[in-house]
Amino acid sequence: MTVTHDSIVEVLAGAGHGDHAAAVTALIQPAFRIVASALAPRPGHFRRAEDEPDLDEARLTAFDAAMAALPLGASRFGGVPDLPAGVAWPERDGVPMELIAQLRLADVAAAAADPRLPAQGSLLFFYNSQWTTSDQGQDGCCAVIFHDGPDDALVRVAPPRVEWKSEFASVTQFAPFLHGLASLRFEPTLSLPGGVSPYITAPLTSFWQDFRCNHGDALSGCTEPYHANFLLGYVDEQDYVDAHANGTEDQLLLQVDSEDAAELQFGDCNKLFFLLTRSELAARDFSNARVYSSLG
Amino acid sequence: MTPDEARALLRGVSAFTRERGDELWQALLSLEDAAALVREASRLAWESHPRGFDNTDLHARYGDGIVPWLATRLGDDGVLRNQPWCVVPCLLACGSAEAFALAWRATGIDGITAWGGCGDRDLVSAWSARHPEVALAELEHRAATGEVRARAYLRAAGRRATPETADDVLALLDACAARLFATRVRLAPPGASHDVRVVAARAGDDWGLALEWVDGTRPSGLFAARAAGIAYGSRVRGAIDGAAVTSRPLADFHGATLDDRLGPPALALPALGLGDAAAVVAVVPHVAHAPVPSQSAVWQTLAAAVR
Repeated sequence: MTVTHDSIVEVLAGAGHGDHAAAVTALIQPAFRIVASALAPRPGHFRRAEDEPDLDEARLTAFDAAMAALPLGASRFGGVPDLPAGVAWPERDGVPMELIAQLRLADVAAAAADPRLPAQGSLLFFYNSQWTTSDQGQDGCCAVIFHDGPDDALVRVAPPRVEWKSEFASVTQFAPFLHGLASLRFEPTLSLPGGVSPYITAPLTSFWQDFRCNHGDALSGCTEPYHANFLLGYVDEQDYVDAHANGTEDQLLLQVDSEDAAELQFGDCNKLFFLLTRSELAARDFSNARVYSSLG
Repeated sequence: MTPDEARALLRGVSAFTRERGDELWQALLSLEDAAALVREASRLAWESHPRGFDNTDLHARYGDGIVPWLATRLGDDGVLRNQPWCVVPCLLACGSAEAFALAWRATGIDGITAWGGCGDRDLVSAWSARHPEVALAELEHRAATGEVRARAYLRAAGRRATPETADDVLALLDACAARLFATRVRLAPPGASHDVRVVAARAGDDWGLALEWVDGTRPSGLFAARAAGIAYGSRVRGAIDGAAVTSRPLADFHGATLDDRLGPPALALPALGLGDAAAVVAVVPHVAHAPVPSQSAVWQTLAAAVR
């Protein structure tokens, strides 16, 4: 389903809110829908269980083959990263984080030019979904790496293997957790704020939450659950946890769903939201990016 | 409730029960002083809890005078019974040397420690985080009198001697084995294993111990088997000061022996950060410890070899 300026106005009018068309369309942000296609399942469960090894030999073989066939720097969800030369695998408290996404920005630019993003290079998103969900938003919970160079300056890194114990897990685990591997395609789309958002002010507050809830599919273009992956745009959930710590200065950078194509699973089918400020994005400074999962 | 009324009410009961919990708790908080509280609380059978997992009302009312009652919850097996569940929160709230001594004697906790408790930390570490000055003084006193466990806690607190002695080396290993460091990474040497190798090296006042084993079964690919391990040493900076998880390619996946697969001991040296002056002083094919490395003859020998 394609989301356009006209389709948004039409939905708005159909819901009886046509009077607010100007205010709503003023909020429209360009974004990119990310369409994922499965390449390989995750190679194991990465837990020290007594009944079975943490890595599955057959899955390892398939995963290895899929990674070998993936060109250096190719856009993907999951898998193993291609890191800029000399950059260490991101970790938190000694525990290597998992690769959520690697985006080749030329792939994005080929879909549509967007001055908010560099036209070349790569963005890599890391997080540790095995940790807990209790301390998101804190420093060091995620890492976003910007590689401002060509693909052939990237290095595919064999994953480290660190045994560790989460506060709430009964068994030790191995990090980094590796998700399945999925290739990505980018489609230009339009985005509107979620039901609870600092971008929504009076008079839209009087109806926006219900309207966004009742017409979410038509407004986001997502007709099936767990594929709501977006680059830029707005957080598409209701921000009950003040994830927008800087109000409307905060910008969604990446939203990743519990996408089956890469066997992503965040909490109980939650999404991940990587945010930073507009000025940080403009300065290509990704060092303070924050990540949130369930927003309320 | 006046102290007289509280005493009268408590005189008629032998157990703290759920049915009368609120009433009895109010009475316990209404006694004349800590000594009276210790007397009454110590004779009660604690069948239930006061309200709130993190209840520290007794400490707020009587201060560290409640420690003698808390001590009655320590069993002969060294396990502190967190029944009622205010025991651990109250012990953590008490900041006296007497309270530290009780935490030090406890080898474990039995019972819920939820919000007011230790989380995933051991009792001494949790207590020390709340009262660092008292804890350090007590630990230094114990270390000076030869308690090796105290040296391990001091090492975990960043108290590293320069240069380090063999005892300091063992203190680091003990701290890793007991998971005293604020890291989720496992840095403990194995309890006993024949499938590992330890390379001991030194360079002047610096030292290093590289524990290595073969991890994996695949000869190639992203998941190729590798020499995994833990590096300990004066120059090692990893998850903690002094220990780091290590990983390097195998010398020969098809090698007939463990030494063939891991390669010459010199391959382990870069992880120790000792530079070109590093000299291998010992290589051992087997390590064991029970319950901590400082009680292992092998680790004692290795520590002596690098100092």
